[in-house]
Amino acid sequence: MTSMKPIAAKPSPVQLITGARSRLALIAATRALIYGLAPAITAFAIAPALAPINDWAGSRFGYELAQPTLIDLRVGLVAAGLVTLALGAASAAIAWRRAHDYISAAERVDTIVNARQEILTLATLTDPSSSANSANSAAPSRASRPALFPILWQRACTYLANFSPARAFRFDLGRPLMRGSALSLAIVAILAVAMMALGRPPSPEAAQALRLREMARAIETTSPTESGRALAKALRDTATVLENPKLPPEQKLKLLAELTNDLQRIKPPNSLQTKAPHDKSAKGSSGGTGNSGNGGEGAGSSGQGKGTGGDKAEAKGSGTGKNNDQQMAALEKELSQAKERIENESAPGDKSMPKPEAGGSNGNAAAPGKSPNQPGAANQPDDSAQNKRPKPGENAPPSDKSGQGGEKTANDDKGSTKGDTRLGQFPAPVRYERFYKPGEHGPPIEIKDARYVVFRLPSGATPGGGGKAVLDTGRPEASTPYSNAPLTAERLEASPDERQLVPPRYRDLIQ
Amino acid sequence: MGAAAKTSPDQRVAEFRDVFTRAEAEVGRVIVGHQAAVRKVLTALFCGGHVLIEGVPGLGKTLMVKTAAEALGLSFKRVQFTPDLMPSDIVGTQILTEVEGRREFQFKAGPIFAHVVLGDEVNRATPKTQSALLEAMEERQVTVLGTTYRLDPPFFVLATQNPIELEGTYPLPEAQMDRFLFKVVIGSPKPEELREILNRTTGASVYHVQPIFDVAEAPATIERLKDLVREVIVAEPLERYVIGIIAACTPGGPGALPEISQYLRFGPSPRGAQALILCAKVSALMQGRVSVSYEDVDDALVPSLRHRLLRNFQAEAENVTTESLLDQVSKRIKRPGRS
Repeated sequence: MTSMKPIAAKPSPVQLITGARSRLALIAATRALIYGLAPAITAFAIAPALAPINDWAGSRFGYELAQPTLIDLRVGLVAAGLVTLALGAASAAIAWRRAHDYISAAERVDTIVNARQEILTLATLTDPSSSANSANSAAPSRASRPALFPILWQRACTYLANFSPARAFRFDLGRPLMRGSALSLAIVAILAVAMMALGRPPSPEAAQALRLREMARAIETTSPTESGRALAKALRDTATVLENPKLPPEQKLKLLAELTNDLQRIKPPNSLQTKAPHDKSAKGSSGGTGNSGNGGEGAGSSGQGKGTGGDKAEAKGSGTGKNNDQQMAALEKELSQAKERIENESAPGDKSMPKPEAGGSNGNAAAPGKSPNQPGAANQPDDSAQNKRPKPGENAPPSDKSGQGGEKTANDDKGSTKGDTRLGQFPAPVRYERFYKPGEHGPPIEIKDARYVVFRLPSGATPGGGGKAVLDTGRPEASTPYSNAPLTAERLEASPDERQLVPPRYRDLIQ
Repeated sequence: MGAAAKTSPDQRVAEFRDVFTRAEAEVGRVIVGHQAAVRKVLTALFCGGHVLIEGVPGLGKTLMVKTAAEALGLSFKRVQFTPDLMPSDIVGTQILTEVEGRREFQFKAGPIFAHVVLGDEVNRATPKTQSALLEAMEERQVTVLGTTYRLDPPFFVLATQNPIELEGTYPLPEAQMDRFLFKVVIGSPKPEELREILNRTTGASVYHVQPIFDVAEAPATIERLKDLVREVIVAEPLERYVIGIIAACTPGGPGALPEISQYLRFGPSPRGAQALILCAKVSALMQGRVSVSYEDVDDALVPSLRHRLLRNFQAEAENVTTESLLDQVSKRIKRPGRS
């Protein structure tokens, strides 16, 4: 008993060509789809990550997209992904239809097996689509096939004995992937350009809120106590409130005042103990040793502050360390700046706005002795100019017009509190420089920092300038009429037969 | 047809290859070199066409034709064309003869009544005489005094012409050139070929050509093989390729190449396409195939079309040859379906 293995029938040339046709169509469709699929995937992947990217860009570069723009961009990305996906699908369908051709597949097979168009010829005689059609079909029916068709069939079988469509036609998706990746890169590049073009610097409130959130994060990291967490939460809430454009400035200021009070309550046990002996020197210094949040030994910060009370404030740091001290100092500074900004924006010329009650929040140093919890001036490094910043609507002293501290705080124009206050004023001609006349030399004129450059135009011709206006009456004139019309071509381009070229056979005779 | 019905297609193809190869080898025993020319001559014979052979005197044109005829067992006649040659000298004439006491006209057949006719220096005869030969080539019959005589198949004309000493000649009109299937140009032999020619022709031994058929069966066998040539399959893309070539060679046509429009006055006629296909079929059969390939068509391009392109004055002045133009066509024409 021997088991009879079924012998797999060898596929005929027609079956092989049909298989090659299907394979080629599948490959073409897949490649076409990849062209659209890669950018679509890229767009779909980037769309949800757009918000973190925007936050990162805002924190890293200071530029970020507004929320509506961000939403529009995300919608655009998804739409682009859908469009490229649809285009890829459409092109895949078209590629399938084009590649699903029996004769073309036979020609490809013919080239691979080097059959010198014998497979192609066989395909034209056995095209199923043509023979199944009407009498107009080019392919002959079985009965009307040529007498030499059996030889053609045998030779085709010989050529295709070892032919396999799967082996002969591989997907080779490397190139389509590269092209698709190029399209993906193009989408990313367009997105980057769009973000750069649409990105705007954050508003002062937003920047302030961002800094507050960063501080909240830092506080949570460095002092994971209950009070620290509460402070961080309060900071986040304040940041949210600051960013809300619908809230009135009064409410924001109130919230800031509450936060400042909270900070004052939290601060003494954690950071500093302040002594405020009655001394008129108004000079504060702090020095302390303590363990930092990381367990190291920190050196006490030192600073100088200028208080309006004229009292001497001496502070010794004995808190948790340098990091906390700096955080608190920075936090106070930020809160102070936020208050100031809100006040500036909410009350230009409006003196009826209630001033915050919290001590030290008006930029001046706290009066010594009022509260033992008040931070000493030692923790406000180099902000004397800010603390002395005049209120809107108040006349600043003349010495402050230059805007010390690098900020535009000086304001001598009561009608406006923003921008260049000197616009509209014609400058007085004091200390002006003049340009040199032609031929005149001297030290270089420095106009780099000039705000206005005044030109003096001469009222008339300069006497003795060397020029003289005369009427040219002696100009020669043509006695005969003339025109500037172009001359007619003397010789037109000769046509080939008019060149009188001599054929080689007559050249010797003519010579 | 009876023999064709008995033998299988494989045997018929094998017979064709055998006959062609043996004829080629037999002619090669006499003619040194010129293998391509010999092959084209035999190809034209099996295609049922005629050949115009161009070459300077003394290259063996006449010997080649005569040898081919002898090898194939066909009758052979030679006509030397001169200016005073009359059409009746070619086709024959009625002469008055006395038969059993009665005088009557009898047709005296001319040299055109042979299987293989060599018209030597055909451009030296007057157009009237040339047209007599060319009419017979096309119609395969002659009419003398109202009586039509059919020429026995296979009727095969080989005309030679000399490219030099053109004074006093009558160049063949383009319409008559078109009736030749091929124009074969024979060049000078190479030095080693010349040495072999000297050995064969000046020695004591003379080789006598052996017919590859029985002389009585030769015409029928050749006609049968000609039928086989017609049965070779041409795929539709190949036909489109040939049509594309003809269109590319037609000046001013939609598919004409710029050089063609610049240097040609007229392009090939449909006879050119027929010549291409037929020659390609013979070429395919010679390689054991029953279908035509692109290479077969390319091989037939120059001999089939070179005499069908009429150059203009500019081409003659700039010495642009039809061969160079056809070379451009074969390089630049696109094959259908090939990306």
